[in-house]
Amino acid sequence: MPQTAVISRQSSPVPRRHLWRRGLAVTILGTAGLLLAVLFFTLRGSGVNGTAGAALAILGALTTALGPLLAATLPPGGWRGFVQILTVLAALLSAIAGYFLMQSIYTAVMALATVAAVVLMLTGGNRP
Amino acid sequence: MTHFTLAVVIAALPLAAAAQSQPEWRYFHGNAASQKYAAVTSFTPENVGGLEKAWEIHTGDVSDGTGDVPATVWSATPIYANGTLYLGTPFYRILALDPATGAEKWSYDTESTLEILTQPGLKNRGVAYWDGGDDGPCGKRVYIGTMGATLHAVDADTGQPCADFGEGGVLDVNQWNTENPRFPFSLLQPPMVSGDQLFLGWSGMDWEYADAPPGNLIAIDARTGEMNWQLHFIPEDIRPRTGTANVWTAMTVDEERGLLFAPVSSPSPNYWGGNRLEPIPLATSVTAIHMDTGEIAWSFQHIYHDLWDYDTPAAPSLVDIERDGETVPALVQPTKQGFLFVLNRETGEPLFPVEERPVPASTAEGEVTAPVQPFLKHPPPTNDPENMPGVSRLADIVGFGQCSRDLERFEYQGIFTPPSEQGIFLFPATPGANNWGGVAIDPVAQRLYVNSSVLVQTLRLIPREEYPGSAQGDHDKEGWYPQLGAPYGIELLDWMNWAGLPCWDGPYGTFSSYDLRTGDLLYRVPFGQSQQWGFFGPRSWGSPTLGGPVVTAGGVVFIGASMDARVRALDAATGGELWSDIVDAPSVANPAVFTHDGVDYVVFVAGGNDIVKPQVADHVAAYRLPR
Repeated sequence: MPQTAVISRQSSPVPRRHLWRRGLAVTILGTAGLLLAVLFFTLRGSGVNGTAGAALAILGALTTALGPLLAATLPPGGWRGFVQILTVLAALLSAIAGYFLMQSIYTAVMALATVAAVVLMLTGGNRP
Repeated sequence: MTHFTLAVVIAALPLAAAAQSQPEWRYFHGNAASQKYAAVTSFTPENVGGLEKAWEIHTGDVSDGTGDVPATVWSATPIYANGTLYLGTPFYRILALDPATGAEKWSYDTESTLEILTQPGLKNRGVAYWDGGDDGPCGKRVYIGTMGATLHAVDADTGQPCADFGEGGVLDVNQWNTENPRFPFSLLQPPMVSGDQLFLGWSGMDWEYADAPPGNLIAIDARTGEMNWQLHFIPEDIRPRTGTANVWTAMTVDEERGLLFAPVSSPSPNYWGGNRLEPIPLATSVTAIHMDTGEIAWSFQHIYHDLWDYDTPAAPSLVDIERDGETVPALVQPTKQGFLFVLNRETGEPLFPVEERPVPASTAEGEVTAPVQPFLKHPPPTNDPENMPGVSRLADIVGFGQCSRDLERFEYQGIFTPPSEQGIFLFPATPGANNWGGVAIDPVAQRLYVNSSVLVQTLRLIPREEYPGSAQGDHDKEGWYPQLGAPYGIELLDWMNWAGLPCWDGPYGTFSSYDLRTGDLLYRVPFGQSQQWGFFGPRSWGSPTLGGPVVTAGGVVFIGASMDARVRALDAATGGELWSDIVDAPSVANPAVFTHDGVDYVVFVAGGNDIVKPQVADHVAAYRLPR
């Protein structure tokens, strides 16, 4: 059998176009979180409008939304992994922030984004 | 029981039982007795969870202080009278609103200066209403005071100035500011009204001067503004070298007995008393005054030689208490110390024992502390007067041990630890355990309700030679105030770590209920939620509060007051939260509850106060049960 046939599917790097699709869930959830965060940052009566905490929630959601897109542009290896870890952290910290901001829908969305980001990180085929 | 006796009892039942409606909220605290009690039965623990917003408005009179206009502090309670809702704003305007819709009927602008002449912000606690029983223009009036010491009277139906009052409807109250006139008599608390008289206190400048305007109470004719009498609280011979001991908060009236009850503040300078070693019996007291003459009926001083700025912060609330088969005419005086003094309002005698205990002596230059201070064990104080809260482990970790190290830097020997150059923990802090929101009383159930704060500050006397500049504005040191004329300025700071976390353990705010017949504490629960940078603390922490409660005959307590900018309905029986809504800023005011056209409303003013949180607004929200 030729040498190349020994290579298994599991150790193949995921093509960038597939990685982009896999990250879509995280991006969509992050975007939803971003919209919610912008709403409660700007809306009078949210209880947290104009606060630093709400601004951090925007930043966290934005990072979560953009993380998979950035990761998809990177070759497999250290930098892609770093961005994926960053995305997980951003989503997780955003969910925690949402809890202490008492924004339950945002918290739920970012918690889901955290799960999706973890799955992406584990199955993103980051080995070169 | 004879038939006659039975008939009397039956006839008396409607008087003892609450009426179904609250046809007026005519005074700052609801009625002249300052009970903050609404005789409405429609709001109950079972249905108040369905409360809906009837209307809301934004007055436009708000500033966060970043522009030319100083920051506003709006603590007004609306007045409901004459079928109208009247409000004063921190820009010193009067708004007359339709109580059912919030639509503006008329407005009046005092065109007052918007400068902070005495206080750190543009403050207003509302307006006063008077009905002279006359027909025609100005037979009913609304009054508003200003930072610049003018009192304006306008027609309650039209908002037109009452020409016979003062000069064209404006009275210069500062004309009576003749001793140590370092600052004007700012009229931020609406006057008390009784009969055809208005009773005026005033607000001054804290911590700035040793010799300040001496505290006085002025009674004026409600029609003309002419002075009927004035009462000084400081003996004449020492007025040149001290001052304040004024009445800056609301007052209470017992119209049946012709008595006015004045909560008198502390003398100046607040944290050093070497210039005023002579007794000032009326300072830091609740004093009963005959309204027709200005003569003192009795006075109860609850701090001797006050060195802690523990002003009497709230109007006392009147209640008739059943005790040993007798009805005792009483009042409850909440204090910054956390003591709730219950006194016979005819004699001033305490209904529960007051103990005079030895307190530490001062080491400050020229100072002689009072050897004893009054302590009250029952009813249980809202703050522990002997022990300050422990160190917060979270704050200590985040602060790398700063909070624990502070225990070595500052001393604490109980509530009356004298201020010193070394520095002390001031607990309760200067906003007090209880403040101007006072207590709410259910006169039928004879129950008391009160929100309290648990705050710790550090206070240090700074020798004059170390205090740069001559006034607070001459330096950029946080928490420094000059006490000019005294050998010490002060440094007064909240006890926080670098991250803004309080160094002491919570809860930081509570809500309590007491049985007034026995003085027993019925419950105490954490109240409100702290909030920093938008993040909320756990519910178990509670929150510092300003403003106070209203209790209804249906068993519901309405209250704003907390840091988290929520207005709430609580179960009066347990303190449990039944309903809440978010408003635009902490509602640092007592709400008003009234019945208009057969519908019961509760109205909150959400204006904010940076003592609680640096968030301001111009929000008025009215709620009702669903149709």
